[in-house]
Amino acid sequence: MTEAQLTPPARDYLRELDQALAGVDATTAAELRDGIAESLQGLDDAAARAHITELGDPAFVAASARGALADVAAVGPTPLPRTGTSSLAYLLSALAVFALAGFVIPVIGWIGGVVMLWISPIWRRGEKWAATLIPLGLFAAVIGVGVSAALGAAASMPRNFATYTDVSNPLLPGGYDILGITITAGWIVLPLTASGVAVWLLIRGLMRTGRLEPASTAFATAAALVFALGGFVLPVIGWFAGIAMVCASGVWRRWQKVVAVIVPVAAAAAAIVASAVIAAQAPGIVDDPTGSFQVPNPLLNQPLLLQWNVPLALWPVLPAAAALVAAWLLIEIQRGRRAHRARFRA
Amino acid sequence: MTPDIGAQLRKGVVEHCILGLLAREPMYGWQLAEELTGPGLIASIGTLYPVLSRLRERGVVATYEQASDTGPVRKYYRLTDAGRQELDAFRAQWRPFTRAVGNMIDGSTR
Repeated sequence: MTEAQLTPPARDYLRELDQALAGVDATTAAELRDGIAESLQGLDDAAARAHITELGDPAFVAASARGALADVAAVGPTPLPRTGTSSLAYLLSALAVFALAGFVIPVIGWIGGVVMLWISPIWRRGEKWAATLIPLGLFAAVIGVGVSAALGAAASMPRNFATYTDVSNPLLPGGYDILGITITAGWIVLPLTASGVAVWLLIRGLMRTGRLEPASTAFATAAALVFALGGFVLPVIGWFAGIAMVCASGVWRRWQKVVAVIVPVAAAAAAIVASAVIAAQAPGIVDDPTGSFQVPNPLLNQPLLLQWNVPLALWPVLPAAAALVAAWLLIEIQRGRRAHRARFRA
Repeated sequence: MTPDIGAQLRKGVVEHCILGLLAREPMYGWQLAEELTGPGLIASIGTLYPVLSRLRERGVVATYEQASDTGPVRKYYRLTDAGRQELDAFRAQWRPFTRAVGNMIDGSTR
């Protein structure tokens, strides 16, 4: 298309249209602009002016394009072409790599999955950012907490021991400890978190490709059940799956979803804090079971994770709290349905 | 808040009106816009192109370029086989649908 065939009023109109179309989806904007430009081509000044009057104000044209695009979004997901990077096979393999490759090749496997997510049109940008940043954030947090805990342990060393010895302090976080923490974070925390996020991405992906109806009561009920029982069957990951389904469902309100996420986490955190407080107050030396002599408290020889009862907090405290929340969520579904029916009768 | 009933109705049928127009003959953008703005099915040519993009993504409409008699090369939209099938399916539902709605809202006495 040659702009040379356009008269000055036509060119002015297109320039204004370009400005008005800022922010409109690029493909649609280009097609709209080309369509209007071709309708202005070959017209003389007077004819172009008349046609411009028919076309309407560029701001109005752009606004109606925006409105029509918003309608598309409101109507629901545009069915994606089910080929290439938006096919079901791609969706499943990208999520498998994202969730599981990190267990096989720590970190690098997960990065491969992130790349596969980013090049697919199935997920929105916000979802891609969440998939990238949530596991990365937890990974960084675990490294940070682990290293500072190791440093704290070294700082609480008896001073005389630390000062009067020539050998390097065995409790200082050496390369070995840092490596251990990094391996734990990279090999366990990262892929574990990614697995939870992957369930959420799976649901979003299936919704977006028109394979799942999230507003249905059936889906919400299934979500509540996975939320209640998932954590018992598959510690943490099962509960992640429940969260993902609850968050994807269109039945509950946002605050209810927030409560559903926070309550089990708070229960688990409270259990950990309580155990940590008890551990901190535990005496360093206790009586031997026979009562005849004293020994260092065996509790304090355990790794911090055991002293703080972290495994217990993750199973069964977390799933038990989730089960209670799930019961509430199920009641809310019923209440929502009754309210819906009442509205129809009114 | 009462939704604009006309807008809701237009949104529901505009895609198939475009398919119906293209079933007669391939048309270029402005031609389609004139046909649709006349009876008020779209607000302006701006509304048309997002709908056309959607129809093309769905594979019911395809485009080709052709020089017009007056000179400029124009992009024409035509119906694909899938589009023809979709239009047939819509036609099959539309008449019984309008009849049923008409019976209900015209307040006929039994």
